[in-house]
Amino acid sequence: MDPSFDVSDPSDWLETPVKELAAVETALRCQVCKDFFDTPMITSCSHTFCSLCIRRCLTNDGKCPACRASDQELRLRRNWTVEELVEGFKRAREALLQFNQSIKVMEKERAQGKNKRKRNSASQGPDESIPSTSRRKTRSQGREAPGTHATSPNEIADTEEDDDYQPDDGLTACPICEKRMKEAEVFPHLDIHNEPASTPNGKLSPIRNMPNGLTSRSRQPTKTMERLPQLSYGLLKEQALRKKLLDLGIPNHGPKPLLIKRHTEWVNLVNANCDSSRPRTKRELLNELDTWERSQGRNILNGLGGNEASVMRKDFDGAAWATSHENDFQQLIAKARRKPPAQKENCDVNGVDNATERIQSSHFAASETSAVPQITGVTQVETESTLQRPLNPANGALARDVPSLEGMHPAAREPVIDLSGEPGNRQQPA
Amino acid sequence: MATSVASRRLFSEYRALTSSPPDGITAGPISEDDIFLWEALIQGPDGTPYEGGIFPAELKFPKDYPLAPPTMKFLGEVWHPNVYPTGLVCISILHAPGDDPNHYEQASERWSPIQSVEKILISVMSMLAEPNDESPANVEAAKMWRERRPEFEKRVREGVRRDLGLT
Repeated sequence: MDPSFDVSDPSDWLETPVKELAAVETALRCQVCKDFFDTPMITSCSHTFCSLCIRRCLTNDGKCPACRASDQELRLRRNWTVEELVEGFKRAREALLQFNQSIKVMEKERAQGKNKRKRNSASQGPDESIPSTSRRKTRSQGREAPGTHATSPNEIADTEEDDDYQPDDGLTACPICEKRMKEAEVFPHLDIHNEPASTPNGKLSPIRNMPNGLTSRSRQPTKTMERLPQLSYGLLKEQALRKKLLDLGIPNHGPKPLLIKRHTEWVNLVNANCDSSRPRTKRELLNELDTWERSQGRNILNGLGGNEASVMRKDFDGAAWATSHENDFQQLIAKARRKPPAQKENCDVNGVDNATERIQSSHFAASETSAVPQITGVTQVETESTLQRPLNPANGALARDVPSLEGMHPAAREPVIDLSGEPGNRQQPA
Repeated sequence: MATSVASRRLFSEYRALTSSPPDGITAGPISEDDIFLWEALIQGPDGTPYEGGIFPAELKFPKDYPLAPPTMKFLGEVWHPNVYPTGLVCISILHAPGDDPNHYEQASERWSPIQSVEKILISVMSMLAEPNDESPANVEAAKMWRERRPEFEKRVREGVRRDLGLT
C-alpha cells in the first residue's frame, strides 16, 4: 500500500499494556468514516457522527446509519463535549502510544535483568503494567527524561498532576528548547517560550490545551460562508438548476442527475463547514468538491446507463450500435420523410432536407442538454449551428445520443418548447 | 485531500482487519492500484458441511462506499441456497434499504454505512451455517436443502473436497 496513506487505528493499542484504550479510541471515532470525529453532530436519536458524514447519509436516505430512525439535517446539533474529547485524545495519542511502548520495552529489559533502576523488589513486571495511570506515567517520565522519550511524553503532562509531583531525582528537559532544569522550573520556563510565540495552536503549551481553548477559538469571528438550503430538485427545471449552480460558483455541466448530486454534495460540504469550529475557505471546499467529482461524479454519469458518459468510450463500436438500433433510425427517418409533403409547396426543393434537419436539431439539442458541458442555455444560435451537423447513424457521437432521448424529460425532447419556456426559467432567483 | 472518503475508509478497514482479524476470515485489496476490489478468504464454519473448506470471494466496492454496500461474489463453486449459481452472494446486509430483490428483508438487517467488511464476512460465514431459504438465490439448492438434506450436505462436502483438490 501507499506508505503516505498511513491511517491510525484503534488496534494500535492492542500491542500496548493498556489494550482497553482501543475501546476508548473506537468510541471517539465516527462509525461512518472510521476516522476521529470531525465536527461531531448528535442526531435526534442521540447518535454522534461527523457533520459531513451524517449529512451525506441523511441526504442519501434520510435515516440514521446506526439505528435507522428517520431524521432531518435541521435537527442535528453540535456535540461539543465529544469534540473536546477527540481534540484532547488526538493530542495525547502519539505520546501515550510511545509511552506505552516504552513501558513495554522497560518491562522486557527488567525481565532480562538489565534494568539498572533502583526500584524495589523483583516481581515488578505485572505490578507495573496494570496500574499505568497517568500519575505513574508522569513520574516514570521524569526519570526517563535523559532517555529517548525525553521530549514527547511531556506533551501529555497534565497540569493538575504535575502540581503535586515531587521530583525525587535528577533534572528534566524543557520540551521546547531541551534545556535541562529542575522539574518545577519547567512550567514557568515554558511561559518564556509561549510569550513571544503566541501562536494560536501552541501544541506544546499545556495551558492552551485546555478545553476552553477550543471553544474560545470557535467563537472567534471568522469569515464563514452562509448555510445553504436544500432544494426540491423535482420542482426545478434543468436550466434553472444549472443557473443556481453557476450562481453558487460550482461547475454546472453534465446531465441533471449529476447536477443534483453535485449540488447536494456542495450543500453538505458548505453546511458541514459552517458547523466546524475551524471553517475552511471556499477554495478548499471547491477542491474537495473536485475530489468528489473525480471519484464519484463520473460514476454517477456511468450509472445513468452505459455509454452516456460525457466522453465516449474509446472502443465504442459505432457500427454495431447502428445495427442494433437500426429500427430506431429507420423510424426517425420515416417520420422525417412523412412530414415534408405538407410543407413541400412552401419549401421547394430543400423541403426534405429541412425536415431531416429538424430531426437532427432535436437530437442535438437533446444531446446538448445531456452530455455537452458548459451549456447554460441553448440559444437560438447554437440550435441553428447544430443544423449543420450531418445525420449519420454510423457516427458514434450521434448514435450515443439516441437512447438518451428515451429517458429524457419531455421538455428536453422538444427543444422548441424548451427554448420558449426558457426566459421564464432564467428569471428564477438564485 | 487527494484521496476520496471511500478509499480512506477502505484503507482504515483494511488496517483494522489485518491487525485484529476475526477467526476464519482474511480480506484485503487484491492490488495496490485498486483499493475498491478486494479478495476475501472465508473458512467453512465448523459443524457444517462447509467445514474444512476455504472459500475465496471477491468484494467490489462502489465509489460512494460506505453509503452504498459492496457486492460479494464467491470465486469457486458454492452450493448454497443464498448464493447464485454465478457465485454472487444474496444476503440482506449487502442490500441497500429500498433495494430488496425478494421483498422479504427487514430494513434493520440491511446495509447501513456503519456496517463494515468485517461484519459482512461474519454474516456470510453465519449464512453458510444457516441458510435462509425464504429468498433462495439458488432455487435448486434451496429445494435440496429443504427436502433432501443428506443429499445437499453430500453435495456440499464433495464440492469442498474438490476445491481442496482431494478427489
